[in-house]
Amino acid sequence: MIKPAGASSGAKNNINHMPPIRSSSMLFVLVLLSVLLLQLLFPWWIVVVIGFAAGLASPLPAWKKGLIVFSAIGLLWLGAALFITFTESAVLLPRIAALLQLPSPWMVFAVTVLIGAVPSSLAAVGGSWLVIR
Amino acid sequence: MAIRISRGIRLLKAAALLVLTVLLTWALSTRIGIIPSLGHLVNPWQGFWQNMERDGVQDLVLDSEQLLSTVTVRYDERGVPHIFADNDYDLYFAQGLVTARDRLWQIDFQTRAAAGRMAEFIGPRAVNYDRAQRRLGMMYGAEINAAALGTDPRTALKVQAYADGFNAWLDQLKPRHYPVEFKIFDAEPEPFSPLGTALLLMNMSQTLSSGTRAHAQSNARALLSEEVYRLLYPDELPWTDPIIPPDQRWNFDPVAPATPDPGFVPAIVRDLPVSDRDPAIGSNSWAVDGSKSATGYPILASDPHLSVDLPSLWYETQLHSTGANNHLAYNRFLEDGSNTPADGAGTQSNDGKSRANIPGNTGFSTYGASLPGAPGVIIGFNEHVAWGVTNTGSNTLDVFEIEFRDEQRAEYLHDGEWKPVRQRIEKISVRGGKTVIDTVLYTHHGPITQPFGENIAPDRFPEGHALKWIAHQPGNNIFLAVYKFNRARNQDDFEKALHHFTNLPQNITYADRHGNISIGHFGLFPVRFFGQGSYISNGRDPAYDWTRFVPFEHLPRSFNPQRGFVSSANQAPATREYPYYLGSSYYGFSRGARINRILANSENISGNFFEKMLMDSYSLYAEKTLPFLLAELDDNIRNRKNPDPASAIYKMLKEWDYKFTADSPIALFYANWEQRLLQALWNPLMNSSDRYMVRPAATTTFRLLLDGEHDVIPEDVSETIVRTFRETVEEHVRRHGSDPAAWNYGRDRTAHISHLAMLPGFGRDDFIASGRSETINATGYSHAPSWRMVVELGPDVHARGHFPGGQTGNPGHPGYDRFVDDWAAGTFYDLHFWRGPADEPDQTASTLILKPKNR
Repeated sequence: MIKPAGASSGAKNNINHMPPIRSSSMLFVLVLLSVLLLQLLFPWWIVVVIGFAAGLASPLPAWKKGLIVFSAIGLLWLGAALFITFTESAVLLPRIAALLQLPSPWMVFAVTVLIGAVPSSLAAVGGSWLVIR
Repeated sequence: MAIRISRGIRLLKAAALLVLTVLLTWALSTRIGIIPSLGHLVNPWQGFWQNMERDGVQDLVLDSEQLLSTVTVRYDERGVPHIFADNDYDLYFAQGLVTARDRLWQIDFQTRAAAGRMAEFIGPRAVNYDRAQRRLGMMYGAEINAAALGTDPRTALKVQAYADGFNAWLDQLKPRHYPVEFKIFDAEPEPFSPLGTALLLMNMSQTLSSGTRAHAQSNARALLSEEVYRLLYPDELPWTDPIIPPDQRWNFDPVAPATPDPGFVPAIVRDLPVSDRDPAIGSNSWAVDGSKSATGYPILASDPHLSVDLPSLWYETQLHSTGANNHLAYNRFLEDGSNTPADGAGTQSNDGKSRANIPGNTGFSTYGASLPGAPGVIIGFNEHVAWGVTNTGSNTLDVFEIEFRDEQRAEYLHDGEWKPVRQRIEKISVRGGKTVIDTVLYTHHGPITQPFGENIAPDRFPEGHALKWIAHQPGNNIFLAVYKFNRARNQDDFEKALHHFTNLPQNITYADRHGNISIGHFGLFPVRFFGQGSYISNGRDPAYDWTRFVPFEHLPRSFNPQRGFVSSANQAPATREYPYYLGSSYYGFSRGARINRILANSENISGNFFEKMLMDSYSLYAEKTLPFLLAELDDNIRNRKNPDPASAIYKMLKEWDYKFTADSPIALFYANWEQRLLQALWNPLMNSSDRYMVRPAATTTFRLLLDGEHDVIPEDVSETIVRTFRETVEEHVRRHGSDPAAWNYGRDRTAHISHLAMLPGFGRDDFIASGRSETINATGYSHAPSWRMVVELGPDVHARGHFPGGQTGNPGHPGYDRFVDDWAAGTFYDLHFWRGPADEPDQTASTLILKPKNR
């Protein structure tokens, strides 16, 4: 587990010499990159693990980390979904919408974003609550 | 202290939130009931997004150690693969591969559905379906047929090559590119095998040859007086124009049937609901010779009517092989020890290694509709011949009453002896549940389909009866017939092929470039005494056993008839003068007589004329019945002063041209009225006891009405006609409004194409088409012409066709349902029959190159 080097010595999950991720944009980029990379190798729930790790790794406030993880993963998933939609054909979207009983094909994007972003940002908040600062 | 407490609370909150997160993540990763695993389904890296494809087929190069030579596959602009190979193995390997590329999920799903393995996909809800499939002997029959496939090197090689090609595609496919249905069902595709091909044959047999009315007819015969029974259920339906022209003479000595014990009266079968097969499952096929065609050469049409689903039943393809490396392919295949023929139950094991049947290094090229999962072209043509098929209503499945010795059911009585009952153990894996083990009892007739004391498929067969089904008959290799059809160059070749067309009886239409046309009723038909198989059979009496079959030379056939055409539309194959009894359960006259009427009255026929004929929605049945019905209404309606919906409808019916065209305002009214009338006339009698009966045929009913034989109908005919007319008017106005100008048959009848697994949104709910089951264009609600094909033979073969779907089975590809609207509107496509890999190069939309890889 990753933890700020200067934090309380009582914590067990201490990995020394890891620089704290104090910058929001740095965390955002790190989450984005790790999702991009690990998503290719692991099932979808790797985003939840990454969210949790982000919660542990950064000294930023919990709500902020939650928001960063939510927006990073949400944007990434949305971006990937939009990219596919515009480079490939969109005929599957109304079918998936009907399958999931969604009123509009555009809701499929919302569902996609929420399923990626909600559990991972919850994991980020939970993760930061675990760490005592 | 305060810090500790707040730290404790904080940890507690964290723990609660993380538990919630883990639960949520778990829920999103798990299929719960029918709700898919949403995390897997919607994530853009592995989920359905990866199934979204742009139009067209991607160019691709693959290699395989199994190939002998390079195979070129050219896709045309409709996504039809044209496969060019130099030997049978590579050819069918490529067919398996390209079919898997487009229809992987369909093949996997249909194979499991046929085998009774749905519970492993769906869960405990599907256990009864699976048990019913197993108890019908689907797996049992597949094993028998797989063994038969293995007995000839040609079919053994082709099914193995097809499976190898399928598996080569699957092996290189990344899980994120698995068809979307696997993601929805949270399942994995499994490798294909020759058993899968045999299962798909069983699936076709189940659709086409597993029907019987034996129990309904036995009940009706027991309930009704002999005279009434004969009137309601005549051996021949009225007005039928049989497949073989009535002037045909039968110059042979027929094999005599056995004589049954005349005292046998089957026990009454109760508790089965009234159900009947869908009359839209049927087919047309016809051909004219040069005397009637504009080209001077034969023209052939075929359109099998089956359940129309997405992905489509059919897959279009051209198979082309020079045959130059056939010897190499067969030598390698036969030397490979792993290709020993499967040893199926009850099969005489011929030597599968026989080298006598290795084909020479000769080429062929064929085009047509293939069935995903089965190598070869099922309905199609080559440069010499064309062939079409329609289903037969002859008896193909008999129901036997069995006398067991005691409650142990270890022995049954047959031919005066107690014979042992065999047991077959069926293991059904259940998703999220324990494996179900079902013991199915088998007599020498076949399986006991409905178990004792439970109802697993209540609409099918009576409890404790055994089935004898042609699909279970050992030693038949219909795929050898298909192999030979594809390569036939003339009537002789085709004739040899027909000898193998045994275990899925069909009417087969044939035409060739040499000017010949023919039709026949092909398959294994037991030599039956009159009525045998049409009622419940006596399982004790060997006279009912299928011991002898109608010799091939005695089958009902017609070659180059004087009238210049041959046709079939599921009607009786021949008049009662034909010396063998085949069955009594054929289709009504309407389609067949309409086809014959048109062909008899037409000259200079073109392929285009056949296309229009295939789209013909004129109902001879309506022509015959409506004037009578309207005459009955006359006094009630005609003299009315006030215009009301009833008189407006009456007037429209009077003026109707009997065509079920999509834009007809009145066709739907007639259809609904006719249905309501038949129900009203017969339901009181059908429901008068708890005995299961099927109501008399519609044409029989009208034969009685038109001939004034109203006494046998328990209801007051005139009153019922008037009453049902009024009821239909009321309902029609309620449903479709009171403005007749706004009524529209095509729209109002809401015909649909379902997804194979009934996934909402994955079918087509909105297609608008003309036709009804009794018109040549037999487009019903869920069954319809599933592959329309017209072939003009001659020095250069020309063919046109279409089917309701698309080549790709991927719902994320624009081609998935692309042909539906053209199919519904009657727009045909040119079928590109390419002479070689370089023919019409500008028509190639994309290519797939399959290369051999050095071992």
